[in-house]
Amino acid sequence: MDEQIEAYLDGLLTGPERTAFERRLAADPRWAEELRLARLVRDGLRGWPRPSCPPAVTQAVLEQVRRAEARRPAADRPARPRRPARLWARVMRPSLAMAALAALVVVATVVGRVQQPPRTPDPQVAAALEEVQWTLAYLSRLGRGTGHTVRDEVLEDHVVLPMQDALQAIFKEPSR
Amino acid sequence: MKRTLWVALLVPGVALSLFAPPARAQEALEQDPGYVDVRLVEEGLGRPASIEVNIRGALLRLVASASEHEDPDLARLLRRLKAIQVRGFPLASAEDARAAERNADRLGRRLEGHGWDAVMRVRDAGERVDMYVRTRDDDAIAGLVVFVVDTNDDESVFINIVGEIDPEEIGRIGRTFNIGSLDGVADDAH
Repeated sequence: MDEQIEAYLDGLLTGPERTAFERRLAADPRWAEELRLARLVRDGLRGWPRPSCPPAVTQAVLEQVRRAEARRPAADRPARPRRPARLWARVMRPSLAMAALAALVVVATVVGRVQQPPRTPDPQVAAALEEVQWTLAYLSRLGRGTGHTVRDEVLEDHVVLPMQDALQAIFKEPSR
Repeated sequence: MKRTLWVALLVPGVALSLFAPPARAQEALEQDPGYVDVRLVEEGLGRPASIEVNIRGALLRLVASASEHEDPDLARLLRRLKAIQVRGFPLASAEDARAAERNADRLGRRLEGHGWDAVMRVRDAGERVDMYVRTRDDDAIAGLVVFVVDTNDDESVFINIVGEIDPEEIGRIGRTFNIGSLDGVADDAH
């Protein structure tokens, strides 16, 4: 179900698939609800600020690429072109370009996570979170309350009463 | 004739394709050893619940994500759960309380007959609590059920948590939240 909803949201369904999917949406409120939640997640992700790579990091990555290129034997190096744009195009061999890109993606992801602000959840999610918290608090309170009761019962049955019996037996009190 | 045959073949096919995926997801949860059908509680009491909490599937995942930033412990706990179901019933009279107790007895016996273990039974000054857990083959807890009949607060509550549960963790995290009245939850119930 998740895959179809994602495909629908991304506009990847073909005409007939899309029609069938929309029929399902109309027929079953659960599908509509799942779609609403998936849309919520997607919109929430889109709402995040796009992280930017700090200039110093960009500079360092590019510098590394230049140094790697300079270390290559002269015979392997391309002839110096006349225009800087061409030089850049030829220097950026696929492997180096991939390495630089990967580094940028890693840095951007890290920076993006650091800068990511806390989001305000959807009212339905916020209400559900409140219900979850209430349920856990309720269970926790039961555990605490009944913990005392269980402890008291255990002590009474397994410690206090046997001790009384033992003492009465020793002193032969006829009270029991 | 051909057209009739096509229709005869297509209609069930389309019907199946329309309803099968959500039904499968629902069936998967219902087949889970920790799941209890809350309708049994409502049917046993013969009236609908005044409080309903149903958090499962995508909503449960969203709640876990929403709490990730402020409460990573809660998010971690929720990610291991599959569903949280709560039903609350007001107890308007002593007869309501007796009916709720009889229902808890009946369902408790039924649970025990289906592999659930009673881990706590408390009868204490107007409050009765029965807690059951069901374990998987690897001894991990697959589900938890709690019946509460509280004549002090005039309420009866049924809770079923499906998923990998650590009671100690629930207690520790639950202590950090304030427990309001059942009415507060009822207002938000969906």
